[in-house]
Amino acid sequence: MKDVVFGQIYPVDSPVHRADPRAKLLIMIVYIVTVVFVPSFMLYAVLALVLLAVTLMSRVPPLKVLRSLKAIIVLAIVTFIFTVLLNDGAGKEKELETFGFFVNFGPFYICGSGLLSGGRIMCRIILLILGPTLVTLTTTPVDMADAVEWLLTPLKLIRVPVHAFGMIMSIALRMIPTLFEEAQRMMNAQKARGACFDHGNIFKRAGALIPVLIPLFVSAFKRAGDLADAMESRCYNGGKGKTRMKVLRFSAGDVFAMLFFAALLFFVLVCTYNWWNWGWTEFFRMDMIEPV
Amino acid sequence: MQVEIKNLSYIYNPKSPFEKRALDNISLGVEEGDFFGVIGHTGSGKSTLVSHINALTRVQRKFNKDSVLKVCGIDLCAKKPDVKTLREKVGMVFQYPEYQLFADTVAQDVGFGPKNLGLGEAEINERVRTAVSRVGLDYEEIAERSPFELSGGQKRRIAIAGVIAMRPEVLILDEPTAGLDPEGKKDLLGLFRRLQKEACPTIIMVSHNMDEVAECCNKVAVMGEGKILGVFSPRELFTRRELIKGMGMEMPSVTELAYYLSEGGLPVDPSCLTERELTDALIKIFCGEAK
Amino acid sequence: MSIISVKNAEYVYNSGLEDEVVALRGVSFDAREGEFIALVGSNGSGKSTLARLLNGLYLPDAGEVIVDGKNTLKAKGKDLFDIRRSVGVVFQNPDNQMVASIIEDDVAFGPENLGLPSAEIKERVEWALDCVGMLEYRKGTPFRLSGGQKQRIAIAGVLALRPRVMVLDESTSMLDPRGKKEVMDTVRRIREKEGMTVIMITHFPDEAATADRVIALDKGRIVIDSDAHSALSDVEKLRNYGLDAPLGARIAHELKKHGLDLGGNIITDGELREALCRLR
Repeated sequence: MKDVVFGQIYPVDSPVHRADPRAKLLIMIVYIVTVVFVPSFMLYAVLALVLLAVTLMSRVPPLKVLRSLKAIIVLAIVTFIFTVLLNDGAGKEKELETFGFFVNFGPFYICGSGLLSGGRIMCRIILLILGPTLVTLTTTPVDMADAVEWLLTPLKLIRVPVHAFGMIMSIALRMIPTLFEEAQRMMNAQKARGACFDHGNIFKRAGALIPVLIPLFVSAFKRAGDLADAMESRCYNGGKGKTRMKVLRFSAGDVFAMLFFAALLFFVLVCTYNWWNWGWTEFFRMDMIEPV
Repeated sequence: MQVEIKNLSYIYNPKSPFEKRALDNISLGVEEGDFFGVIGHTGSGKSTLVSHINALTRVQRKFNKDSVLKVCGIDLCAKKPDVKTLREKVGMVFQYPEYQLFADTVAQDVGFGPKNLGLGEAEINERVRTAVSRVGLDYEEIAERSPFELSGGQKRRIAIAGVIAMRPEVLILDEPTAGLDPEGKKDLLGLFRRLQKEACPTIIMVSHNMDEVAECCNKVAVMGEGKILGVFSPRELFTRRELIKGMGMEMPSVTELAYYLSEGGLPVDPSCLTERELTDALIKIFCGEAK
Repeated sequence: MSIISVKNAEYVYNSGLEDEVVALRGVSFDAREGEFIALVGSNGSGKSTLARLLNGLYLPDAGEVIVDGKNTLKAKGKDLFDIRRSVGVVFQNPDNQMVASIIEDDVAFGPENLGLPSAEIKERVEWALDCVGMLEYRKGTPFRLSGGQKQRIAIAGVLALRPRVMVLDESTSMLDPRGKKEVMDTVRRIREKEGMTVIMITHFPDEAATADRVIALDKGRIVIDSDAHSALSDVEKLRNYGLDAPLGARIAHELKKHGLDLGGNIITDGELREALCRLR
């Protein structure tokens, strides 16, 4: 829990680690949009290749990135099975013609069209997990909080207290490990007085936590008061006129990377919707028998 | 023997890059009637050791095939040790114990432990009453007040009362005087000595404060890097300046002064432990001559 | 010239309520530039309240506090800023005064609030961390540090404001002996290097003995205000206010009771040894 600051970061030095966190955040958003738009296996392959390239560049072992799938693999498989079983190919006559098998048992079906949809959803889930994982493996939560604050800056125009959000995030990151440790200490202290946290039904267990939660709240309030005093003593006045030591600057590499991912999104859209009827884009729609 | 430890080890994060041997083949015995000090700098394994004694940390059976950890006759190396009885027999006062107060009234807070033991109301009340007066507070005056409105020193006493209301045979103290002013420290140490006589014969104290250790303990275990570097009487211990200094710890201030004076050519015993002892020695030297 | 001047200051908690507590009554003293003052007193004597009056965190209910010519009662906006940057306060619990999870970001917090340009902030952060000997940890987190190291970071956070006075509010009371020593050594070094005015609130007599001047508070009043030697050698008087004298002074006092007057005002081990050796 002490690792909340460095989060999951894989501690090596690489261009990806050094990249501006704001660029990484923007790229992650563009990437997610891209994955959501992509409907074909060929384009999934393209995205996977891009992801692999970035992974190699980041010097994070690819297996480490893949391991993040452990948590969602069950979800992915269940989603796949249900998508297949519940898909009767309605409205996908062409697909059904091409993959000419159709099994029906009770309310469930297995057909080519269903298998294709299931496969696509699975690919999407996997790609949606891997991209952000790579970001968390190369960016500290502190940097990420800075990037989120920057991204929200335009909201200042409509009087959203963006600076306060940033401060809250920063203090939360700072205090979570401390409070977590404290909670553990309190539990131990009450256990030593014979308290039991793992017996009885849910209500009993919740009740057993009261002797931990009350002191934890009391102490959290005391800490908050102390922190407010300390911040005020160090000239904090709500962020008015505040400057920053670390001025984030986009490097040429950051700009290039952002442009690259924007282009990738554009390319995906062009291929998927066949806007200008370019013949070569057919290749990336190979498995898309029905037009979108 | 109240606490018997043989060849106990404990490894944090085994088989990972963060593997750390917090306890390395430790053997130790605490007899009934001991005021047993445990010293060592932060990270030396003191906390892991004492949290084994009241089973907040369980023995890692796979690393402790032939080890012994017996506390008040309960075998903690067993597959399913009788933790419930153990917690009844071993009380633990954590660092800054006043932060664990939670109940509406002092009486309820002190009664939390006895209630967990499943005692009857009359018995609980009786125990709360005795515990509160044992820590030097007036039961009638304080019992129905909120623990949160008490002064810092009173809060700490109430927290300690909450532990001794369990009537433990062994009391573990973790830095019991941290954060108190000199007077508060003195009072609390007096309290523990009285407690030992009246209610709880065996006390184990983890402390950074060598003045306290010199004053209270009859045996002191020195820990470093997960090992026991030795168990000494305070007098033996504080003649070993090199050991203490080498571990980055301080000597008791009285012993330090006595050493300093003897270095300056004054015939005082450099292993003086108490202020009284040193003053008497000086009086003997000088006032004897003066007269 | 006095940098801080407290005149008849009074402070009351929960004024007008049932649980009214008068924390300070008629407190007056002047701190001169470059002085090292130890402020002692038992728990509840009002010393921490006084610390908070010195930088305008609390305002006196009667009397006034003048910092560098500015009255904290009247200070607003820029003046209040000036007061806070002149008087830096290091508090008791090292865990409760850190804002950021990266050490250098935390030290930068003060200068960032002052609105300084990035380059100057960097310079100050480096200088402050170097002063407390923690420069090599700048990119790390405070979580793995010892109490003493954390408190040194807190001192750096205050130093980065370039204050003229540093107030330490029981900053060593939660630390182990090693941490105490680290903090005391740091304070001594900063005083030697920067000649800063230091007001140290403490209940350890041996820490107070390192100061030039000792002010003792009892029940919200100043009861002793004199040079460290005469203040701390008066064992009986200190005891009356629930305070301890340093070990050297206590022993000299005992010897005096037995008819051996060592003369002078002995408070440190060194002075005791010197006096005793002279007698032989």
